[in-house]
Amino acid sequence: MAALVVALVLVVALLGVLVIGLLRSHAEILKALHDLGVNLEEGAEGAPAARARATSRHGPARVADGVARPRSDGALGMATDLTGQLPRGGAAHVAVTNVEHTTLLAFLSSGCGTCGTFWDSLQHDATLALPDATTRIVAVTNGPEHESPSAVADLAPEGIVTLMSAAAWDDYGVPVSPYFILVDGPTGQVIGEGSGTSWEQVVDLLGKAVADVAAIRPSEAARPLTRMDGQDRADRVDRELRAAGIEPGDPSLYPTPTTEDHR
Amino acid sequence: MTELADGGIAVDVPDGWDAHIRAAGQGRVASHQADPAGTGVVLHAASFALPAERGDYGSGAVGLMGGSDVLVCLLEHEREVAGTPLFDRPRVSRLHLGMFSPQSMQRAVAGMAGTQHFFSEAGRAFCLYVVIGSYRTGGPLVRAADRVAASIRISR
Repeated sequence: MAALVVALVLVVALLGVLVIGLLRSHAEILKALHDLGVNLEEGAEGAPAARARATSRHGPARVADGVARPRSDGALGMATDLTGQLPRGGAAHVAVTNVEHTTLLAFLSSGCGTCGTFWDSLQHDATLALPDATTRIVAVTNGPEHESPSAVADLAPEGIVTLMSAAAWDDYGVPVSPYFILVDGPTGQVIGEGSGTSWEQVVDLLGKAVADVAAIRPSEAARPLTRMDGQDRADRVDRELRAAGIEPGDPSLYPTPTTEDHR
Repeated sequence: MTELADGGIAVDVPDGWDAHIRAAGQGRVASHQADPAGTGVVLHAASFALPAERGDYGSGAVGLMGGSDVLVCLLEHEREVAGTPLFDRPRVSRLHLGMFSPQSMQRAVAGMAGTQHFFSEAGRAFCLYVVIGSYRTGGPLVRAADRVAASIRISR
């Protein structure tokens, strides 16, 4: 009889441990779902923890292997200038704020398969069809402590500044590569970000981001013109004329008066 | 203002400026082959977006300059020539508009002006080459260039 009682106690204790383990596992699953923004309680609104996680720049949500889902909180934040190393040696500082142009930061790595598509696109596509032709593209890999400089040097597209900067990845909270962030230079704000599996997807994504900004802040659409002072306008005219092969002093700028002009 | 340092050269980069420090001869493309290079470190600091491919004396970058832009280049030559007649002088203490001339450009571009100074410092030989986008309205540009040039620190 005593042996039966002891056996019963042991079985109850074992079942108790199993139940506690199951409850703990259940709680961990609920917590994980909660962190991902899924609340199983009926009528529950988005939980604070979920929103807090969505605000994080390290969201784990992924839409495909190696492709990150863009952050969805709408609070894209302010940009910071980039400082890092050049893959062929040397150091560089790239201004993305307090500049007139927008900058597309292409966060890429030398190892990820999806990134290979973008390294190729940046290397070979002369016409990258960005929403704004004046947008500057800067390729940013992680720092030399995470990436091989020689591998990055081999991939670095000709004509595009390629920077190795762990600090930039931290500053922008890059969740995974490839990842793209569009910065508005005059305001210093991030106006779009996300990822994709092809350059066309990214261009489309950025085009929508630019359109969204223009829709939310219509005055921004006219910003480049409205903010120009006299010197800015003169510079723009100089640039456009120079691009057309017309240098200061070019005879075409001083046409000979015709008889019509004298009337 | 951000400090950028490498190769025994440091510079304070103003907001909105790009700066690169690299070995001479990097970032060249075929069209820049005529651009003479030193053999040491090259610093480029620009008030505009520096292109990836450019010559040591700024070819490939100067063509992108607008009338309010500035390019500061510091080019190191062989250490053996430090103190030789061409380099036997200290770094210029202050840049002023009178030093600039369209004829001092590596390749003349109408409206722009440049200045070039050879000097030795810390046992190293350098050329400081500065281009302003507009000679006519060059005063503020030279002051901006002078602030950057004066912030350059050179060590052995």
